[in-house]
Amino acid sequence: MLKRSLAILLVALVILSFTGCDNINEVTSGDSYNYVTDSQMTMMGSDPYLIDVAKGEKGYYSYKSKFIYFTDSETFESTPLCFKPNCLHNSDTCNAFIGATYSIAYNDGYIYYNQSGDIDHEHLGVQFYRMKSDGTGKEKLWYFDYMVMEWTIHRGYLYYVYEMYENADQGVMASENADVYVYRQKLDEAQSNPEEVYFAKEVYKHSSITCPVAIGNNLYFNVNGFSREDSKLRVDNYMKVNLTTFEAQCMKLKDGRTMVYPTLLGNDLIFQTAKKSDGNIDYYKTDFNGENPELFMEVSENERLFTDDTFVYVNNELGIRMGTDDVWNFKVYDSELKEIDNFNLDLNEYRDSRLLCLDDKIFLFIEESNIGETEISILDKSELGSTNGNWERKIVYN
Amino acid sequence: MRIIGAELRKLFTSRLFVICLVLFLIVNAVGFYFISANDEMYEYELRISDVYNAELEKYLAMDKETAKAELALMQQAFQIASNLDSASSGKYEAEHMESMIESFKTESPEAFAKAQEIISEGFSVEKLTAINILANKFNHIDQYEVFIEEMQARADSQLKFSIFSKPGTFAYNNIAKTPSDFEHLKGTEITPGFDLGLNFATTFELTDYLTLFLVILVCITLYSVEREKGLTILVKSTPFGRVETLFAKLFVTAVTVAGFTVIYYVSTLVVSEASFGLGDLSRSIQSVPEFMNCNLKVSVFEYLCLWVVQKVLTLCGVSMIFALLFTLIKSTNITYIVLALLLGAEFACFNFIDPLAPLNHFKYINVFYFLSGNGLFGSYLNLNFFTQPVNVLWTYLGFLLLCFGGCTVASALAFSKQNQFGVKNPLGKFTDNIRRKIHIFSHNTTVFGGECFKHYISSKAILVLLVLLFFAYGNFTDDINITYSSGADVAYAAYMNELQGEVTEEKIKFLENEQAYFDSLYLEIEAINSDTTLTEDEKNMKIMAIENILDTRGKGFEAVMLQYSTITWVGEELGVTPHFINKNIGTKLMASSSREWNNFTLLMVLSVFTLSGIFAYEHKREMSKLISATQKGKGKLFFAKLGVASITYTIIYILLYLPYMVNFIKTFGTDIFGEPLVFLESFQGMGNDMRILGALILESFAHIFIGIAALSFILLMSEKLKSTVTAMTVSTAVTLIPCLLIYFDMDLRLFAFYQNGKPWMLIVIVASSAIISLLLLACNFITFTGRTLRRCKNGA
Repeated sequence: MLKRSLAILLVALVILSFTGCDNINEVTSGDSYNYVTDSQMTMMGSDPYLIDVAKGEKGYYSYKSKFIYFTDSETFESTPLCFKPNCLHNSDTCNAFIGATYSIAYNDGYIYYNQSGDIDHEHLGVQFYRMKSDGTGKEKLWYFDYMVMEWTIHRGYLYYVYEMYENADQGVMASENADVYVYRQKLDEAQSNPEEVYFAKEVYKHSSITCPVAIGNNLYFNVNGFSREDSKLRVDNYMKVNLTTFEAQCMKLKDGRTMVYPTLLGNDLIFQTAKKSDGNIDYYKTDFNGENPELFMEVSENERLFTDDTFVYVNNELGIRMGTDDVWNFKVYDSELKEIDNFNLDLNEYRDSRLLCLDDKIFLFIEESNIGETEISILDKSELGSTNGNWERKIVYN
Repeated sequence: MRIIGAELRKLFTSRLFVICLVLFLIVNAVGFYFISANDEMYEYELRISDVYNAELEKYLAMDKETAKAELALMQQAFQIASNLDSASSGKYEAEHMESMIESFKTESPEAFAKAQEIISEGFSVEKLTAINILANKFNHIDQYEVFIEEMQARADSQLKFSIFSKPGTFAYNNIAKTPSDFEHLKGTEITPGFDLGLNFATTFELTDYLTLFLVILVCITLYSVEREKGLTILVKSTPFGRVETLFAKLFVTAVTVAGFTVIYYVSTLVVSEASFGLGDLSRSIQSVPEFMNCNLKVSVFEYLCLWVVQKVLTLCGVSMIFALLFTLIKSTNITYIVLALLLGAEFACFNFIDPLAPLNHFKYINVFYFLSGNGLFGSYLNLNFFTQPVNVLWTYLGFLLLCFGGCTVASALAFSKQNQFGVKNPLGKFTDNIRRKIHIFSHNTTVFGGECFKHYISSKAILVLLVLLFFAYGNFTDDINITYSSGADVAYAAYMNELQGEVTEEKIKFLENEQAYFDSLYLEIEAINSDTTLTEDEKNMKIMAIENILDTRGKGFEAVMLQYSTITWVGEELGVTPHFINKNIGTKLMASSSREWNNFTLLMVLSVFTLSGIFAYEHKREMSKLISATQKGKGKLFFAKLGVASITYTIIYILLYLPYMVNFIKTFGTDIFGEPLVFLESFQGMGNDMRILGALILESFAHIFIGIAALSFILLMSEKLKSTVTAMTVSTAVTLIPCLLIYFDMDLRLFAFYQNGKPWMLIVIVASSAIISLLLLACNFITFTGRTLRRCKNGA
């Protein structure tokens, strides 16, 4: 009797363990975007290395000057992520103080962030942390003894870029030559041997993989550098890797032009291509898997296009950066490319801040004021269509 | 009462305990003064304390609003005075200066008048700093008022956020509870003062560790010593039995711990008051900005009383825990191990658990937290117990209840019910069997052989050396490769691989070619920019590739060229051919402050620990009187002991210093040893071309001879004090305290003599150490050989 019970229990455990595997398969499949579990695409004006805003179920998390802030998605008010009324949020005893951080992300109830290694590691390498959405339960997760600056979290995994420098075994942490990889690590596991997702065998000198973003069952990223075979030959590819088979393909149109930097519009993706001979830039729309591209829109060489779930924004960001334009202009379209608004943002006010866009509700700005205090402001997208040419941002935390 | 008296006598006739009590008190007072007075963060504030206190007195005499206005005016006046001062030194043109003066006169005539007074009295930076600090402190008055008044409003605002508004969560409950806990502080009067003395005194950690050590010593003396001597088993047959004895011990423990705790912490306060001043003790504790989050409505004096009481209760509670351990565990060695593990775990939890971690309870319900500066009463903190916020003071009360109630009862039960036979060595039978079987331990031997046995086997010095062997192995196999954090550093290292050594014509040509290469890269960037056939993206990519090279290899080359110009200048000054030396490797070898201090301090620690018993061995076992009757006499015995001590010292020195050197050679080779030290960055003031190898050898000799001087002192103490533990304590005080004090000043290192151009000082150090050693050894010899029977410890 006892042996039979044990046998049944054993079989049940085996079946349950396979059920767990099925769950993993379910996590990696799905042909629609879920901001809670998927890699979040934060569109911003510049520097792709520092992603300091993330969207949670109840609001937005943003990071500035060692503190983390929460902006409520209902009221759009902001506060440091600290539940102590007796705290003035100006020292390292504040719950919202997380120290010098590279970037943050939100996934399935947790905020993840990475910093340089702690004092035990002589501040070398990178340490990953996570905490619950209300700022409690802070945990140290993984330590990497090399720099992990390019990363994203998607459907149960941390995807990150690893650069193995020439002579790394001799303690070299930076070099002209490096083998670059994309690895992944399960979120709910302690640090273990990572899984290799992609190895950039095509590049070696000044090689890099940047801006990884996962959409659906695919991971997209830049591969740049000089060819492994011919160190004078420049290589710039935009890759898509299937996260089930790890099959990689270069995102190119039939005419050879590379498609880069996908953004989401409804259930479609919008890709940018390289500048044409007439100076204009094409944007192509594909399905959720990055397939079946068709021309979506053409913009001029000083303009750039990005989207949130609902709207298409065309702005002269490049003209502003190159100094050829004095006014920062936005044209807003719906998914059918019907123009619904056209507004300017005051250039001087926004020159040093970044316009952060996570969804179709708000643009978020987080910056330091002249006296070193953090200021969070928003542009409420429910006002689109009635901005009358000039859109005033609302300060929600000062 | 008689039992209590007896227990007290036992404790206070323990020489070790009394010496430690007095010695640590002195160390505490001196250490507090020295460390606080040299605190870099507050160095300037301490220097201007007289000026500050004079200004404070003046402004405290005014009402607060007037004082604030006056301070703001003074700050403005100083600003104007500074501008006028700059103007008069010719910084501005005359026309601009005139218009500036006019605008000051018009916009702030009062401030302008004060500025003129400041200039006529002499612009005092100290006074300006004092004014600025005072202005901040007076602003704190308003800030605190707003802080308290708006507490509820802040809580209400936080509850509006969805992330905190879910009832039943810890965040929600904490926000709801906090304002009511601060309600009673509304209307608290804030009075600025001089706060440094108070902050120093209440955050000084050394006292905590010293008193903790004394608690352990008290417990050893009262609970362990008797059991080891087999005296505790006699107690059962006494009229008062066991429980009374235990309660007497616990009472004496508590009273003694309370007594010295009060003395120690009050002495810290007294020293602080005498040196820095504690300020007006009648003002509210919240007047000190660091205590803004204290929710007790008490004055500074009352807070300090609470603070002392907290220390007393915590240490008494801890002593009850230790007493339980000593009573429960029969083997003293195992008790020490358990104590070490317990304290180690507590320390680790206190230091390494994050305040917001899920298991932060182990951080805050923790002996070290309860002992720490102002954590308990000085700051409001709630812990999460099943989503309910429980103030940390309640957990503290629980801890005290457990200690005084639970531990006391458990100790009483253990002491009365269990047998109190001591277990000296759990492995006793096993080691005894081995000893019997080994021939060498069971036969006659020479004097030197006997001394070796006494020292290495009986006194267990061999164990220390075995542990040191592991340490040495670790040093030998440690990865000491230099980790580069940027491409520029990697490039510099690559250049040094090519260039290290004497600067030759070939190397100069190489540098010129490299310079030409980098110049051509800048030209290439210009050419790309003006190339109209390329698109913007193509231009950006090409330029980025070149900029990558300039950022890595280019910056590395810049560092090389800077070094080249420096070594050329040094070479010209000295009339020597310049040499390139990899500055990272050279600094690692010759200028590592921490390594030099670590190794030397460890040498002292190990010497004290292993050698304090060499001459005390016979006194401890009351065998001294037998020695003078031996055929060999005392002189030969003295030299045998000295020989054993020298061998141990040599082994310790070699195991500490040699492995790293071998590892260094294994990793970086020996090329660097032949280079003149003067060409290494930071050693340019050396003034001669001594090679690195020569410098290392001289420095090593200095270490060796200082160590020998210390060794001689330890051996003398061992003979004079006739007790290993006492000799160890005194030697620790004399050798290790200077080491600890030197730790804080990174400039006080032997290699600094090279940097300051005084290498001859090392020769002076070697010579004087040798003389001191000889004198101490001579004194020891005279004492050892001249001692008669009548001077034996217990008289026979």
